[in-house]
Amino acid sequence: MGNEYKVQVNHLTKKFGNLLVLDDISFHVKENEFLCIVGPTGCGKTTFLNSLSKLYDITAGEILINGMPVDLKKHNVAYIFQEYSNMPWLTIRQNVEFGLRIKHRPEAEIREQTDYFLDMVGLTKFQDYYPDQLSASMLQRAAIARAFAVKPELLLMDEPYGQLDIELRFRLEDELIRLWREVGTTVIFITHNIEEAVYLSNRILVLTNKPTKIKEEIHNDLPRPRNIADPAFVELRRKVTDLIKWW
Amino acid sequence: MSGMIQCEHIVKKFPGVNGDYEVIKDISIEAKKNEILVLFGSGQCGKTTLLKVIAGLEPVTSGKIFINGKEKTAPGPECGLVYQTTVLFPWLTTMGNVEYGPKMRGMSKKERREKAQHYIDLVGLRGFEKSFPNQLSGGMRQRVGIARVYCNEPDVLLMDEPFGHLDAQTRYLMQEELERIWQTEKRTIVFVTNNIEEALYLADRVLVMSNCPAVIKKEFKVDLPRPRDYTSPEFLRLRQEITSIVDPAEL
Amino acid sequence: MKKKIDVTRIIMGILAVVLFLCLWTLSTREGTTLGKLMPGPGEVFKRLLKMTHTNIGSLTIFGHMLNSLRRVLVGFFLASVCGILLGLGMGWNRKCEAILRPLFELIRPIPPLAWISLAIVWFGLGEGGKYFIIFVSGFANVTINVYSGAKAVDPEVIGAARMLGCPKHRIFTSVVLPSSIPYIFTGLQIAISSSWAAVVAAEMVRSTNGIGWMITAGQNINDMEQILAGIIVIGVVGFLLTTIMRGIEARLCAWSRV
Repeated sequence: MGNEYKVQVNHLTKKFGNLLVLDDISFHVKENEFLCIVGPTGCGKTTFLNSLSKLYDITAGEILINGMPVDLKKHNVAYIFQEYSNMPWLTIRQNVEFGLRIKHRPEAEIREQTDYFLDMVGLTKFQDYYPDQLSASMLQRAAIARAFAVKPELLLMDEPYGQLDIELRFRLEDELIRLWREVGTTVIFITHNIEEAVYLSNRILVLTNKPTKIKEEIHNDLPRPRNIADPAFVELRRKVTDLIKWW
Repeated sequence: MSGMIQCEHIVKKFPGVNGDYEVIKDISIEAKKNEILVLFGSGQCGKTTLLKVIAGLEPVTSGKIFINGKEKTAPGPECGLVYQTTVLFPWLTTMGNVEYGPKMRGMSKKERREKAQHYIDLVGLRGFEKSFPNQLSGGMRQRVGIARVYCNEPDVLLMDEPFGHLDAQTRYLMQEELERIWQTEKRTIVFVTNNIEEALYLADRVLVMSNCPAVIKKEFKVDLPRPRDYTSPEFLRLRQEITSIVDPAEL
Repeated sequence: MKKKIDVTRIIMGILAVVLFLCLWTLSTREGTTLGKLMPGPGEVFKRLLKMTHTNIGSLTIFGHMLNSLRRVLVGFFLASVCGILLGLGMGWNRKCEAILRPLFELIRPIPPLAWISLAIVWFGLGEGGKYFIIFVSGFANVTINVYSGAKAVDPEVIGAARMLGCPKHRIFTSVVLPSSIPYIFTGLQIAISSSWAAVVAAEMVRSTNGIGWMITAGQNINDMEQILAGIIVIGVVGFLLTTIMRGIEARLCAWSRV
């Protein structure tokens, strides 16, 4: 199999003491795929993400990137969380530069990349502002620029737009899709919002309640740009909703 | 019959560094008995202030507010407010929170316990009477907030983005729950939200508000049959129509 | 909300104490310099045991301990009552705050020890002066915590109470007081430890009993074992007092922990 898959998750299992949270989860992600993961509230999505990012030790199983065990020093993995992870003491520009600086890229490249991605997310005018001077959606854009600037092999997103208005969310989602197509990166996107998952993904993994397993895998070939009122869109959204509806 | 809520030419200004800052600009609203009126708009300012003004928590700069025919000037039990951040009394249990209003009015212990129990059951919290707010999930806390307000029997329920902090699924659940509760015991509700699905799911009428200063841009009557389907064609059509007239609020 | 006693933590705590005792024993063994200055833990504990049934001065070690405790409790009680009243008053009533806050801020930074001379002049060498010193050492801590608690009451919660029909004059008992309870306990917690620390100082000045006196007496006759025994008792009793306070707090403030 080798490098056919960008990310391979094999028999991922996580226990907290005797409590089984993740139960033998296996799935593969292809290069440049946009994978959305949805599941009922409280289904262990966050544990799942933390295991992927190795913030927690996993109990059993393995996570491979390019066929090698995940090593954050070697692999270029970027995260975007719901909480704005900008550093408040740095300007927006410095925040975007941050990831590149950590990786000791040459100064010219840092400048060039930062300019490019600030422009992509429309924050060039605001690059010298500090995070607390900007609105929530602008901060989330800055976080996205920072993540894409390091050209990650894998981008993990945990409900980045959970707290935003719907119209804003759609705008940022369109921007994300544009960046993703242009830059080309593998994305795993975790969300509670089914409409969002159907709007963004190539493929959707539906999780079960704890202990979390993969309930179903759904391919999403709807043409882009997608329309939320399109009957095919509505049908897919209903299908996923029925799979996780716990309320 | 005149409306349950009548707001006449409400203006609200806050003093600012460069003169007064106008947050609400000449708004008149009327809500009928047992109607769900949704104030919808993006951005933070205006809508919440309007609710606080109706609640009597903020004085108006000019204009008049009548609740059930009586002019409103100070906070009191004729309006009940469900907050975005719950604002329960953290030192009281679910029961303590729900029975607080009747207790303040001097209702006997037996009577108010019975009443509170009725509303705790109605919002689906039976078994959690003795839990403190910090032992409950976000959705459950909002249920307590709703029960507390219902139990106080106000003429008007004001809800300020009560589900704004919940995750998408819990939010749908709570919308369905609120609809069910309201169907069981109808009240006049003014509901503020920036979520268009929520607005259309709950509203008899949607008032689309602009941001800072708040004015009413347009009114939509929603007469889709309840309970509504988020993905029905009419629902989606209304959703897109309303979204298209909202401010591109950003920046 | 499950109560789970973390066994490893307790074991580690005990291990640390044991390790400390071992180090103490080793460093004071015969022939070392420290050994000439200080007895090992074995001797001190033997002495402690003996003190439980023979008098030091006029009382056994329990007698001294009880005397110290009595002083602490009286001073601490007075400090708590005054501190809670003043703190709530300043936190809730603007006028009260405007009048009393500057005065309080002037008195607050004065360390309890600085009051000793005044205490002797005002109250003499009897119990009064000791109560006073303990009172002073606890009072400011209680006041400042209760004050910030009463100030920190969320105006939204007050608004919520008003909307539910709570009349203005009942906001204090119905909202301000209960929501300040965790702060009150933080204040009391700090005050009980500083009171216990102050009693030793107070008894060192002039007294005929108490743990502080025991230590000073030990110093006068160059009895290291007696000094160390006194210090150990201070540590253990202080630890017990804070543990008890924490227990009470856990009972009363279950709602404020996440």
